[in-house]
Amino acid sequence: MKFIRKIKVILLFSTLFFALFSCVEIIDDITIHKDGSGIWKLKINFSESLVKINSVLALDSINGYKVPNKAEIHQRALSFKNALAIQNGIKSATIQEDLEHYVWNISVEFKTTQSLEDAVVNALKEQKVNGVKIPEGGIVRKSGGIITKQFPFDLMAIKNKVKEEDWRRLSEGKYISIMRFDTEILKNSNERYSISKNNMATMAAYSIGECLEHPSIIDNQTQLK
Amino acid sequence: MKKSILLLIALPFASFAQQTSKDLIPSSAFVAVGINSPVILKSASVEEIQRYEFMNEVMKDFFGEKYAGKNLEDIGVDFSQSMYFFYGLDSVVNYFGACFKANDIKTIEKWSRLDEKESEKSKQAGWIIKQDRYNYFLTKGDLVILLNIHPDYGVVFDKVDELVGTEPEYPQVWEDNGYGDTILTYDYGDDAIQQKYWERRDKVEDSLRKIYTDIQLKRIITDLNTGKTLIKSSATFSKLSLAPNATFIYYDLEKTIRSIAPNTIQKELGNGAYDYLMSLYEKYEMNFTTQINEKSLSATLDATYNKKMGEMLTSILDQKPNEKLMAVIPPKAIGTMVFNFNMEHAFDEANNFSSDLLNEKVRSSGMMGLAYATWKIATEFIDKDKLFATFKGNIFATFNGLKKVEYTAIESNWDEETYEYSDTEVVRTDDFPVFAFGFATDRPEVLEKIISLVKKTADVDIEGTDGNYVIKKAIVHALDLYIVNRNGVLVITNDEAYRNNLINGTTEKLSPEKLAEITAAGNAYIEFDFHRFFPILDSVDGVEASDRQLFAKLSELMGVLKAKTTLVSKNEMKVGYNYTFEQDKNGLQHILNVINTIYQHIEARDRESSSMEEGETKE
Repeated sequence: MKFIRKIKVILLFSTLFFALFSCVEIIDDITIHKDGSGIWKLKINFSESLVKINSVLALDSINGYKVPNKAEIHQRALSFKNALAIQNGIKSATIQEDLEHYVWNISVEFKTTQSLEDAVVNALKEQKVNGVKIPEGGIVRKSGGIITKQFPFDLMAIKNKVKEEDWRRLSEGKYISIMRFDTEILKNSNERYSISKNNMATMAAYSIGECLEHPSIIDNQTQLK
Repeated sequence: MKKSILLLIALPFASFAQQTSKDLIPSSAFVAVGINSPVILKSASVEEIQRYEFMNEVMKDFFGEKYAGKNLEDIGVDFSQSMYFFYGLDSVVNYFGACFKANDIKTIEKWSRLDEKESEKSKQAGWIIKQDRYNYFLTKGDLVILLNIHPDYGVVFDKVDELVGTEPEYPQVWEDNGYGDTILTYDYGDDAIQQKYWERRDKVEDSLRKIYTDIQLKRIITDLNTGKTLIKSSATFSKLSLAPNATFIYYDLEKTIRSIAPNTIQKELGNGAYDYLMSLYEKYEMNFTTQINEKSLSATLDATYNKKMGEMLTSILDQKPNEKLMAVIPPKAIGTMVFNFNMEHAFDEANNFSSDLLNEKVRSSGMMGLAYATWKIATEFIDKDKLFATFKGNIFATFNGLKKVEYTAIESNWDEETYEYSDTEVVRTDDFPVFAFGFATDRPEVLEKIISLVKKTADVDIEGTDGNYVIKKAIVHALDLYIVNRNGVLVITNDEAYRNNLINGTTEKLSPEKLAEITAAGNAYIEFDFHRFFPILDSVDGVEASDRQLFAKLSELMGVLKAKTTLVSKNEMKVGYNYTFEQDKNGLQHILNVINTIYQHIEARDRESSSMEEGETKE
């Protein structure tokens, strides 16, 4: 019922839940050393939506989605960190929470890029997160001087289950991918990635919508000198 | 004698001949919605309705592409009789249906998509049935029932769990974590056991669903053929089906509880609790009727109940409006709610309710038993006189637009040399509702003590004394919240000007007419001015220019909604709703006009974005 859905979108001005995601910023920051080990940092920042997030947290549910309270959010974040901490090839898992601004910083050290990939996928599975999909060629892989990066989610399957306006709002969020190395970068296969002045880091910024609708837009091969 | 026998034989056929759409709702249904098309079409003809642009898309959406450009008369439904929708459920299945008189059954079959080859056709007790999984198309003469029967997910899953067992876990293995430690982890590599389990589960689930739906269909047909219909079992529904309302909703709470009880109340709380709830909800029926008038739409919510429920409700609602509270209600708010109920009686009733509801079995078990004991001990030591003199049960809440809030967000700043980033706090603005909430009190000194205690102990920044306080940055760490405890009323608001007026005694009063209206409403009064609401959305950050145009149009069109209690008695309660507007001739035309305005806006926005996309593609 296309029309009914459209009318609902307008009449229910209440798409606050996913409106939060229109201002979410996710920074996916990975440092890869020569031996393949490294540090992965994930920053999730909702602070641009502070008023909305506080309004939503005052409710039990909105648009049919259950709204977690602060304690549940904290528990979920902690549980993800703990799930990461016990995975093979992972150590020093930490989480910093700023519940005044709704910012989370997760950091882990990994032995190899493969162990990071396995750890993240397994931890997400344990948290019952839907849509995790390991692309052919892996999420982050190091093969000699070439580092491959791909997007690990396929959320198109749940698109039809989410309200049109909510999906649109979610798509407006920002995703930033950063990779850092011990040696200088020669080139990137993806033109969206820029290289830092010191030639040791590369970065690309996307809307979450781009990542969800066209995951391959993130695919990149970085060649090191 | 022969004549009598012939008469007896002819009688069922005679009653069949007189059967109309209102006779097609099984008595097990506990929700029924009536659309009185003959009454509705007096306010706007089919041709007039069809002139609204959105109707073309409604026709396409509901009935298929072929119906673009056609009107409601082309769908095969006879609008000289009312249409009904109904819903029912028992412990295993729920069903949803629509029934009406047809003037062209073939056409209805086509848009219901049940004329296709996959659907099964059968006959049962005079009904021709077409079936496609959970959807059924039943016809008898020119009467039609569209049915969807769905087994309860919980019941089916429980049964499947019982037959197939629960999901097997991934095997656990000890592994080296790469840093010399051995840890227990899951082996996610082996998905075969899981796959086999889910395939088997799907098969069992499908078979169970089919069995449950077939049984329910038979039950409905038997009910309709033996006169076990809602119109015969409920005098309220019968009365509603004859009244000249435009639409009505009928809801039987007693039947709802009886239907859901085996899986919920009886299972969780036991038979004692069920018997107690039934003693309260026996004969409890609600209905909501709407009427289309010139320049207005009106509606009534009417609840009828038994003596026990009546005594409980009248006891809780035994509270007169409070003059002191009325004196501080902001008179020009966009939305206003005033409620008056007797907190002490509500507490007593809750106490009786919990004592009677929770049976011995539940009381003596785990957390419920502990919660019950805590509640009983707490109530023993409560000074009820003091508590309910402090919180009387006269409350108001108002909404009066939006105000800009400044808050700090965390922004990442990039170093172009290394792409390292650092966090800086930046000031952002957003919109927050301007509200006021107040309640009457006879013991302001108790509230002063509570505030002073919170001030000393809690982690909040409260400033002020003597009934005039401000909680600094109470909302989103940015917005101050004011508390005024004066003249027998405690007010909490984020509206500084209103707070100042309260402190200075310069608050604008409600007009005598409005005061009389709220007072006459008794227990509940709600007012919302849509005409003034939409313009305030103009200033919201992120609102596009095209949305502003829509808000301006809606503001011009829409009016004021008021709701108030009109009757509270030992066996009946009524709430009346009235929505008035200036622009359109009658309520039906107004609703159609509002929907059409929104539709035109969406269409224009869609056209604009597709032409932009086309432009981008060409480039």
